[in-house]
Amino acid sequence: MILQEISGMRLFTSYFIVQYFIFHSISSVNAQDLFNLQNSRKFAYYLYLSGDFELAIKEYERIVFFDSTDFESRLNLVQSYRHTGDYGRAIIRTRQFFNSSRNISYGFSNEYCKSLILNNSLSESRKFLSLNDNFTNEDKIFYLVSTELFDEDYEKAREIININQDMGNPYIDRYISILDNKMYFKYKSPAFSVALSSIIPGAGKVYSGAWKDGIVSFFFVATSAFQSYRGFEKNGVKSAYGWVFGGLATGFYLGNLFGSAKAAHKYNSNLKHNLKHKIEEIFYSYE
Amino acid sequence: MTIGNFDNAIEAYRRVLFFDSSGKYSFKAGLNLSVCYLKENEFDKSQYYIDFAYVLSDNDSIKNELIFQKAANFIEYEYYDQALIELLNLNRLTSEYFEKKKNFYLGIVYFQKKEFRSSDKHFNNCIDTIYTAEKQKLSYLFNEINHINKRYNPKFAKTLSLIIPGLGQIYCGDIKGGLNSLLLTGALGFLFFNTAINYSILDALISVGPWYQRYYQGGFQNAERSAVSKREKEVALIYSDIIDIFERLVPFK
Amino acid sequence: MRHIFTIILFLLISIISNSQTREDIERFKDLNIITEDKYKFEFAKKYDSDIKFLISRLFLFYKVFVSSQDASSCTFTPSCSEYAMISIQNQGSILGTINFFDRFSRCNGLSPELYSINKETHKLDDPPRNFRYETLH
Repeated sequence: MILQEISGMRLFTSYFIVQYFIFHSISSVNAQDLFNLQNSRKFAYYLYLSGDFELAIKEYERIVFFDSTDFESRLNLVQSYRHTGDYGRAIIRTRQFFNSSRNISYGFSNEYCKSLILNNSLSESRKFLSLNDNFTNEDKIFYLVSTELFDEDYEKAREIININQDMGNPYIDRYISILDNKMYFKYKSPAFSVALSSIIPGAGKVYSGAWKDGIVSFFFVATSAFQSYRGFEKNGVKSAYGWVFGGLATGFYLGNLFGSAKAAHKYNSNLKHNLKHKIEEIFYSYE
Repeated sequence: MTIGNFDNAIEAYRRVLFFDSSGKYSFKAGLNLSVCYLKENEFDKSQYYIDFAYVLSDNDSIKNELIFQKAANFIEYEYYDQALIELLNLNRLTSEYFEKKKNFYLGIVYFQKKEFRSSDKHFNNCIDTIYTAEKQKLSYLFNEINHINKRYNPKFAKTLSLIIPGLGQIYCGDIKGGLNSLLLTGALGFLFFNTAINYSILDALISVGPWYQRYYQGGFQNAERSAVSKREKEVALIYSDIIDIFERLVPFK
Repeated sequence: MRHIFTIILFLLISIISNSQTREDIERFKDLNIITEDKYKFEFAKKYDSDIKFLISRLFLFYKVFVSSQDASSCTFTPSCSEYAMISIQNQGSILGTINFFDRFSRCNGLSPELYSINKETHKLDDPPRNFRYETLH
């Protein structure tokens, strides 16, 4: 069965290669080379516009290889890499097109900075913004603020915004409204959560935003403790039943302490993630 | 293991389509794209390009073959109702060949949908009347399917396991699962009674009750599942016998 | 799938003759092949202390003889016993067991809003995680 499949595939591939060259020769005969620069640019641009970034990248790499003066194709190539999430390659290719970061021209500079930030190369981004002048003032401030926000240094971001007060940039305003929202900075204390749960099992979980889990926790600890008590009450220290449920009650109690701390940490982690997503939303939409 | 670079082929054919202003190569390019995408497991794109080629063709026979190809893809990806829609959309069938092919495909689709009576009818239509032995074998096989479905009834197996845990599984041939269920539920039941006697029913209900319920319920659900899977196994064997009949009727080339 | 070569050849050449129905039969021959995939808990067979060895064997026994009998109604992925096994392997027997007790009381379907859905198993995702040390990247 496997041999049949392999030989079938080989015939299949060779058939395809033959077809491919038939098409190629037919198209050459038609006095139109589908692979020349002009046609390639048309095709690449079509692929780019229709969101087919993988194929667009292939095409643009070819074009850029043959024509090193084609600014637009280079820009589209780098943008295609960014759109597929390959920030690393977008950064590397941009560096290859220019000798040093200082020389990266306007248009590319925006792209390059975006890719650096999205790639979390934040110290690189800071350095680039201080070295390169090919930005509008508005853009530069935005990228500086975004760098600090992505680095979770919200104080520094605030500072930069305050220094450059009357920018009137709607994106910065959106950043401000997020930073002003106290909700994103109200963290829960894991220590307090554990303390609450040590007195009333489950209370810490309720404090950390998981009230249903808190009730269930309380229920498990209480029921096993009750069953253990019943066992010892009836048969004294020898009761296996009492010991089994005693062990379970202890386990659930310790688990409840552990879980309360975990719930508080989880709450904080979720809060940070929400904040990060809101910031990323604004950043992605920047024109 | 795939040999061959379909990425490059896809790019090439898309280039052809983009530049083919005269429309001369679009049919073949579209067709090849459909096959490439199927190889890359991009089912939706593959179907799209079959439609694309369909619209470009004005030959009824080719159009019909494209519909059969589309239906075959739907069957492979288990979209049986869609396959049915395609097959019922076939243009005027001009030859005995197409009639037989349509009946064969319909037989397959109804079989997969477990509508065995319709499947029987359509498979029967594929076989010429002179082949009486094969026709008899076919109706014998579909009778067998009836018996299988009656014997391994999931509801019946479930009821058996409701009464005695594990009985349903044993009835369907899963001895190991049945014994496992019997022993586990039995042990829990014993524990339940023990606790109830030594302490109280309330204590037994709190401590052992939930566990007994979990495995008792799991048991009869498992019985139902083992009936269904036994059915599937037996029907699969009959299916290969049916395919056998057709293979022997058509000479291998 | 295996005979796509013959299919396209046929389509492009479009010669219609009775011998072509052989391809149709071949196409549907393997439609109802049943494969039984059994998941072996390879990750649970590792151990680096006697207690862990005991726990690992207990876990495997439980999975084969007891877990197969229940209704598989756990709302979480991985299941409670797998969770216990993984956290005992990662955090040690004591902390792992405590972690398990917490997970056991959380394993009710009451708070689905606190978890994301696992794409493969369509259940709520709850692998053993330490939120304290997770970073945002």
